[in-house]
Amino acid sequence: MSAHRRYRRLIRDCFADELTGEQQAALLQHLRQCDDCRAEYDLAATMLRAAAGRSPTRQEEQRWDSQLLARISGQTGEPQAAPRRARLPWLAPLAATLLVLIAVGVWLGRGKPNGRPGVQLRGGDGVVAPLVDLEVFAIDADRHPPTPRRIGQGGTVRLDEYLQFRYRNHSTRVRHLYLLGLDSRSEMLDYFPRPDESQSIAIEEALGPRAVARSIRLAQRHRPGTLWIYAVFSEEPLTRAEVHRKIQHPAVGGRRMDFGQGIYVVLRQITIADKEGP
Amino acid sequence: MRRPGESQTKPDEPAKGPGQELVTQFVAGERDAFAQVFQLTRREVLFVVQRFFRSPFDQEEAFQEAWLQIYRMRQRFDVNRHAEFLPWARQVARYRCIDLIKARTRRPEVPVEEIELPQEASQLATAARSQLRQRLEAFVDKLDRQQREFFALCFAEELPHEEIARQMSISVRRCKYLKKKLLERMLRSPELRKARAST
Repeated sequence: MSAHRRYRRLIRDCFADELTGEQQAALLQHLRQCDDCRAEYDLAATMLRAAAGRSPTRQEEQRWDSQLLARISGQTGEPQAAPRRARLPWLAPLAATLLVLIAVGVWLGRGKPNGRPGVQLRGGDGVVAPLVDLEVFAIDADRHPPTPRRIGQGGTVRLDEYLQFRYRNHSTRVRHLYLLGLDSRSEMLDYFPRPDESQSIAIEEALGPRAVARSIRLAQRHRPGTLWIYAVFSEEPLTRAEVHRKIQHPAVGGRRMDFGQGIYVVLRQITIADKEGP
Repeated sequence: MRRPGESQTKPDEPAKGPGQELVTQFVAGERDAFAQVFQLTRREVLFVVQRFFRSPFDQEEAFQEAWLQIYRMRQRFDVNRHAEFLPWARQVARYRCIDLIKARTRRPEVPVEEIELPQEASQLATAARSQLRQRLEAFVDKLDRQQREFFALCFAEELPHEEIARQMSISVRRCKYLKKKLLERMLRSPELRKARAST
């Protein structure tokens, strides 16, 4: 197989998201030098952009984001300094003692000043979570092609539609997501993890929106009325029991949520209308 | 099928720049701040790049280069003038695009911004894009029912493979296979190639 044919195959694999990092780098390097293959790449990209009606496509954006992040990370990677012999042997124990004292001070002082929970709410009581976000979309399955419709805060969906969730995660530390709904009868409906899983699902760092793998069919388990959607982003996986115990919606239990440090909760409220709704 | 640019922010919409705190964190080199600044500013930078480069590959390269340049030059930005961050980022991107064009002696390309596009040429480009859309619709009409459904979910809606697999009751592997096959057919279609050549 000639080199060009191999790269043409890589171009198709690239748009099918099937390239490894090394293959991607090799392809980019080749495209910089080969006008013919670059024309083929441009052809594929142009057609996909025309089909998606956006320029660039969402897939391209995601690829660009991850490439850029990798390059920025490469730039920020500081070279490790060679270990130096300590000139002042008493300095290390003193520094260690100071660090311990500071840590104890921080530990003793935590949570006392204002009792503010370590939870950042969006759509809640004005405390904003800047690192993570959740967007809710409704999909009408009867429509061809099915087009996701963004549902804003307080928006309405129909009972015969599907819910799709897209998250944003700008944090380098947040790696897990627990998604659940709370209906007007205070019934908790776990979306992710699925019933056969016990912990929050793994997510990736994403500058742009990422769709969660599965849509939720509202006709199952849901009923008309208000639905609160909780997206609990965390650095460590959370179990179902932990999340259920801590979620107390103001409209239900009147208590505030307090998940602790490193956990961000995004709250969305939507209304489910009957099938003949809007 | 949606029309190109439908989901995009229009260039004349007032763009919100990052606030002072965020800009300060960005200049200090915090990675999370970079991610947020990137989100708030990416579209503006993309518009600059798209005015200079038409080819998707060139746009990709220039977009990355522009952002790397913004990142490298961040410490030169005066955080007290945070309101001017957006124009500053646009200017850095613009200069980077000009540098890239100058460096390409092998395949020179005239920046679109530097020449006044005659109204007629602009109309021709729009007509060519419209023709490509029409050809794509004709191409989709020739597909069988499953392929049509797949095309809509994968290429028009851009849903992830797992979601498409669930909606169509097929495996993710089959999704990837269909995607490559359809892309192959699109690339081989003489009508589509012809329409693309005129864009």
